[in-house]
Amino acid sequence: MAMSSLWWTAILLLALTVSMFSGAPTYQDFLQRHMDFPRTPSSDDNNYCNVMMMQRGMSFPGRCVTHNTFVHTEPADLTSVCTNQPDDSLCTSGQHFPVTVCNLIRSHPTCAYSGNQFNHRVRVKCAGDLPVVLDSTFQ
Amino acid sequence: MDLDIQCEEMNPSRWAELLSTMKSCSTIRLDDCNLSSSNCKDLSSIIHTNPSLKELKLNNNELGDAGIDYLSKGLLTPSCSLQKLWLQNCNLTSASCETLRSVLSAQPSLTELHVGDNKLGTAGVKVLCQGLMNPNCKLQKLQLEYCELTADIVEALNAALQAKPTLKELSLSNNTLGDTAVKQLCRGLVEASCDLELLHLENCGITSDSCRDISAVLSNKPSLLNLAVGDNKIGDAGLALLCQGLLHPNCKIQKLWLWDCDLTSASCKDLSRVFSTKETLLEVSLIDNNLRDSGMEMLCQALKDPKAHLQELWVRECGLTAACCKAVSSVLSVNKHLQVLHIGENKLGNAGVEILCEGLLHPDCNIHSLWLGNCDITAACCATLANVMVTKQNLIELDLSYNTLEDEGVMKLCEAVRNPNCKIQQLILYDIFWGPEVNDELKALEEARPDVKIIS
Repeated sequence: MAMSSLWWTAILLLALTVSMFSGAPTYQDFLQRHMDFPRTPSSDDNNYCNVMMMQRGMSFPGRCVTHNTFVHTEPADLTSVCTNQPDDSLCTSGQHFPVTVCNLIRSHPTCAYSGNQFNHRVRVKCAGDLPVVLDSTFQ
Repeated sequence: MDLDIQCEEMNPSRWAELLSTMKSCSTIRLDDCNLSSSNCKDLSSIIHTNPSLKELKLNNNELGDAGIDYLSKGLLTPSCSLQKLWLQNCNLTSASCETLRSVLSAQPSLTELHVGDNKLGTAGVKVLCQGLMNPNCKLQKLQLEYCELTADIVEALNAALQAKPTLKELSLSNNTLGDTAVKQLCRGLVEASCDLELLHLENCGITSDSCRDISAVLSNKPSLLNLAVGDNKIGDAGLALLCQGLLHPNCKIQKLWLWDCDLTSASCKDLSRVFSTKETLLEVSLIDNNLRDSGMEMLCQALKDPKAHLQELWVRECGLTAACCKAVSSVLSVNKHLQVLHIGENKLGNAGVEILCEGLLHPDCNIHSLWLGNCDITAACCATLANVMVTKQNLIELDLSYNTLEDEGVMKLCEAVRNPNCKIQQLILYDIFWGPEVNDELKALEEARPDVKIIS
């Protein structure tokens, strides 16, 4: 697997620190679904999406999430967006970050994605001073 | 027995345990398991000693050319009767093609080879084609996506096609072939005796220039069931040319993939004619084309024709609004064939989706899978959706991801799931925010309705 175990340890530790917030989705979900830094090496953008959607639990045979965006920056760059923001608020990064947008193009025989890289601003939903949902990314 | 593992890091003890299982497996799938060339030595001896092994899928492992070299020792043993070999994204280069050439030449049992996402290059695949030319080779499916092929490959491919009457599926997507090469390939396909069933040429640098030749394949190959030309800028002019082939009486197309093809509403006139005349047509993807409401309305008119047998329509991200929903709804109420509708990433809004629900409730509507992700719907729409969920017994899959449904909306959906009349099997609520109260309700629901998968 391309994911380093160090990364997963980091996610686990963060999950423990944010377990005070009992709603869902959580910051841990946000990290798992939307953060990939440094960008996992891949032969091409489509394969990046096919592999990452599988690794992060969003693609199983007959069960494909239709759309997902991965942001390639330090998670701290996005947590700072939510600092001192009220729960449930939508906050947008001032900075642009490299992102990969994955879109489902076929679900049979396996989930197949088309991947595209952009440099986008990122809008997130905050809760407990942390991003929990990626609302959208745009120029 | 099947071994099917994905995304698991192998440690030596786990590997040893799996090896003993693999001795009797007919299918081995180890996708993205961090395998390296050294694991291939073991796999080679499994191939050698397990005559029941039919499928080997090792996608997304860094096996490298050395790994394939080890594998080939097993694959070249006469007792090996492997039918399907998947080596996608395995860090192979042209050097592996020599090995694969000898496997193709020596193994008449091999019917499928998937080697996409490897930098084989034109030179490498030319060597592979020599294996295909061997009379021993009985390959039916060849997948060469993202292999860094150039226009120069077509001559070798055409020669192999002429020599391979067994070939049924060919995928060359994501290689920069360009129009000249695609024209040449199409002429080769028309001449070849193979009964080609699937042709995938997505993102191959195709414009309207080569669409006349693709059209000729459609009208000359009644065996062709599945054509994918998505992610090529063919435009309305290219689509019009394709439709000539699609409308030809010989053409028996079932699946048509035209996503991100720079189509506008102007294409929908030609597509309508295909929808209302081609009874074989079952699945169409038009995602990421700017069809707009007017285009969608034309397609809907066609889908009301009794000859329209379409079962699955993907129109995600097509610039649709509530304005086209009345037309879609009227299709749902008269067309008994349509089962799957992907209409997400369109600004339908609550008003649009409520109109769709009217059609869904019609007794003749057979939609079992409805995808409405990111359609700008809110809690206000959820009572209507909940009513559909408990009334429409054949609706088993509903995707409402990326909509701001709020706690109130999700609670309404949960209430519907609790109703024993609700036959939903999968409710997909991906990336929707809700609070602890909804979370508790979802947990309770998991126990109350274990047959319903709520994916979030």
